[in-house]
Formats: sequence, C-alpha cells, structure tokens
Amino acid sequence: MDWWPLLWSIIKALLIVVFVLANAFLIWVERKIAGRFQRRLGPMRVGRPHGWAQTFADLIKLLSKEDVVPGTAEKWLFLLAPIVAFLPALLVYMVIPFGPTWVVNDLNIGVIFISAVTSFSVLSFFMSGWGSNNKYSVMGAFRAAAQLMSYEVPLVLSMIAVVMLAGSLSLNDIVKAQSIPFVVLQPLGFLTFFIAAVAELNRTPFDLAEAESELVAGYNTEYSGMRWAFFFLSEYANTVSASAIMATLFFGGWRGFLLPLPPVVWFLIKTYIFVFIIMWVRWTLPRVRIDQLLNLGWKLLLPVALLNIAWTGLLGLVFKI
Amino acid sequence: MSSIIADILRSANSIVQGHLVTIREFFQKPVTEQYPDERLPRMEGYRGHPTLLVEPETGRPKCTACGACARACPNNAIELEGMKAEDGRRLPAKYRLDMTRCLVCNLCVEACPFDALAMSREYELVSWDREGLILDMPDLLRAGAKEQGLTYPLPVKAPVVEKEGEKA
Ligand code: SF4
Ligand code: SF4
Repeated sequence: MDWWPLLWSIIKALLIVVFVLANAFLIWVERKIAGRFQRRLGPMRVGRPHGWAQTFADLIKLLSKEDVVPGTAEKWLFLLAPIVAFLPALLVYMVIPFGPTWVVNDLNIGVIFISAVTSFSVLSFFMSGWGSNNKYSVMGAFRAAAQLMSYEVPLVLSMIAVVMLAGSLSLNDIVKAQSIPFVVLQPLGFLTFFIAAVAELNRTPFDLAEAESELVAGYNTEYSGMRWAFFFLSEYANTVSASAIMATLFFGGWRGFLLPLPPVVWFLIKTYIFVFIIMWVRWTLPRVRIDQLLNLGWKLLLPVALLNIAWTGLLGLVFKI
Repeated sequence: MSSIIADILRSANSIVQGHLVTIREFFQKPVTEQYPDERLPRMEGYRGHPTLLVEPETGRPKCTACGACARACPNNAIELEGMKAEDGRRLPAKYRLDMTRCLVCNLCVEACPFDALAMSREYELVSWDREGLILDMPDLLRAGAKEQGLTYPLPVKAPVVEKEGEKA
C-alpha cells in the first residue's frame, strides 16, 4: 500500500491548523487597529515594541482560568458547543486555494461545501445558548437563528451568480476563470456577499447574537477560560476564511496583477485587506436591531441578489462568458 | 418606490461618510500619553500640595511657627509645634501636613505672613496606606526646595533643627 497520499494529507491538514492558530495574532492586530480608529495606541505593555506579545498574554490568561460549567446547564451541549464552533472554522480552509496547487482538497463542489460548512456555526451558537440554561444566552441563540434565515439566502444567491460566470463549483476553477475579477462584472453581487458575510461572521454591526450592551455576551455568556477562547479563536478564523472567500470569489484569489509576486502572497495580501476592511466596518458602524437586519436581508439584499443573478445571465447572453 | 431608493442611497451615503471619518482618524497621531514613560506638560498655575520654603542662605525653613496657616486651614490638615533656634529665631519643631484631609485650597499659603509656604506642582501623591500621605517637615522642605529650584538639604553649615526642638 502507498502511504504517501495519506501522509501528505495529514501534513496539509496540520499546515491548515497551524495557519488558523497563527491567525490568533489577529487578536492583537484587531486591538491595535481598534485603538488607531479611536486615536488610541492599543496594547503597548506586553512585549516591546507595540505590545506584540498581547495575544500570548491573553491566551495564557484564558488557559489559566477556571473552566466553569453552570450547575443547571445541559452538560453535553454546553461542553461540545465550542468545539462545534471551531471545527467548521477549520474545515472551510480545506477548499480554499492558497495558490494554483496550494489547496488541501480541490472539491468539485467547493462552493456548496463552503456554504454548508459556514452555516454550521449557527448550530454551535444554538447549542451553547440552549445548553447554558441562561435567558441571555438563549436569546442570543434565537437571534442567531433568526439572523441565519435573513443573510444565508442572499449569501448563497450571490455565490450562485459567481458560479454562473465561472461555470464551475470548484474554487480553483473559479479563480482560473477570473481573467477579469468578478467584482468588476458584478459589483452588486460583491456588495451583497460582503454584507451577508459580515452578518454570517456575527461581527458588528450584525453581532446581535453577542450584543454585549443588551445580552451580557449573548450565547457565550456562561463560558470562561479555554472554552470561551475557542469561540474567540473561531471568530477570527471565520473572519479570515470569509475574507479569503471574498478574495477568491470576487477578486481573483491568487491571481496577481502588475507585480510578479508568488500567488500565495497575492492571496494573503487580498485576504488581509479584507480582514482590515471587516475590522474597519466593525469600528465604524453601530449594531443594528434585529428587525432592521431582517428588513435588510429580505427587503434589500434578497432582491439585489436576484437582480445580480439576472444581470449575470444577461452578461452571459451578451458576451458569451 | 423612488422614496425607498432615495432612502437606500441616503443610508449608503451616511455609511460611506462614517467610514471616511474613521479612516481619517486611523491615520492621525494617537493622543494617548504613555503615562510612566511620558508625562503631559503641567498647566500654568497647576496646584499640588502645600510645601515649606527654605531660606537659601541658611537652609532653614522660612517658617516661624506662628500657626496662622493651621488656623486658616478649613480642614485642620496642618499640625505644628514651634521652638527657638540658638540665634533666637523661632523655627518649627514639628510640621505635619495630612494630605488625606488637605483640599489644596491655597488658604494656608495666603494666610502665611512670612511667605514661608507655597503650593507645589507635584501631582503624584500615591501611597500604599494612609500614613504615607501624612507629610512631615523633611518631605515638605524637600518639596519646597524643589519649587525654589534648590536641592534639600542645602549644602550650608547651619543645621535645621536640633534635638531640643522635639519637646519645644
Ligand atoms: S491647602 Fe487648604 S486644606 Fe490644604 S493645608 Fe492649606 S489650607 Fe489646609
Ligand atoms: S503661617 Fe507661615 S510662618 Fe506661620 S506657621 Fe504657617 S508656614 Fe509657618
């Protein structure tokens, strides 16, 4: 038997885990960026210069905290929820092409895989919210579920338009099809996708499920220590993966222009630009109300996504793309 | 329909405006002051705790232990005892300022007929316990000398207080 493919898969899987964990540095980056948006300095004390070791300090703090399980919690749901949150965050990276050949598994149904796996995170919100047996948690969970309905449909519809243009569900084929980045051909589709993706990430202005100012911390109110850190890490892993998907679907993924940089560098540049933009949005806009989000999803994003599909069809007819 | 579109455009515009504001702030210099490493310049006329001024010639306190400051103090923060030096001049033997009570009102400085008191410009008055905030004569003289641009004790021969003063 040939062991090489198996070994190679394990190595690739480990590399992905390393990449996701390395993104923990975004904890520090986001605090720095948040500081700069408010003309503060952000963390400065742990590690000179500029408090670069803040992430390690945060993680050590979280690791050394007590792992509290509320007495009335549904134990299994409560304990499993953080893992269920973290797993899809990892799984998404499986199909994302970092470079022409740098992809763990170029599934021919990549787009479907992504939309299936990313909406998984709502399950973990619901598990944690219900399992905590706490009214704030369960309200956060309800909101997460209601939110899912309103953003998932436009999200998937805007992905369908991309698939129509590329003629393939594989992400690598989609990148190869983008001699013109798709954002030029369907800017409306990109906007819809961006807004829906921020809602999917549960980040401000759509962090209704967490909503510190109303629900304490929403679904993760009862979590502490490392379990809470898993929610935290998966939020950052999801932010990066959503940015990577945006870069892949609409901005030509690893394709470069002008500068002859290696494809993976182009990919990372585009991805982290989107990470920055998502943080920029977070530190600019206030949280919307749940009815506003539902209105936005159903009354604006959905028609625009449908319009975008019609537009894409028209493009296909006229230019035979 | 057209009002809906106008609505959408208006909100989109305000969202863009908001982002322009934040990105402008992003590239400005942060206003944070890294406190122990950097300090803000103190304002003109900033008042810290009262201090005892020193006679630059002799290194003795200017104070004559007349007690006017203690009477003027609305909070009874000043406690003092007097004594006579060898040359017959009255000096304070004990002078305690309780900074847990002082409200930095400047009345003692105004009351002093000998201009022996001044407000310092010190703002770092921290201590682990209450006792640390009770300033004794050496503390006050050191702070006063600093306000006068001198270092205390001064390099002059005449010593400040002698032991007899303790009971005076
Ligand atoms: S500043 Fe005011 S409160 Fe403080 S010692 Fe002088 S008179 Fe008393
Ligand atoms: S009023 Fe002036 S001279 Fe009199 S005791 Fe107070 S500090 Fe000394």
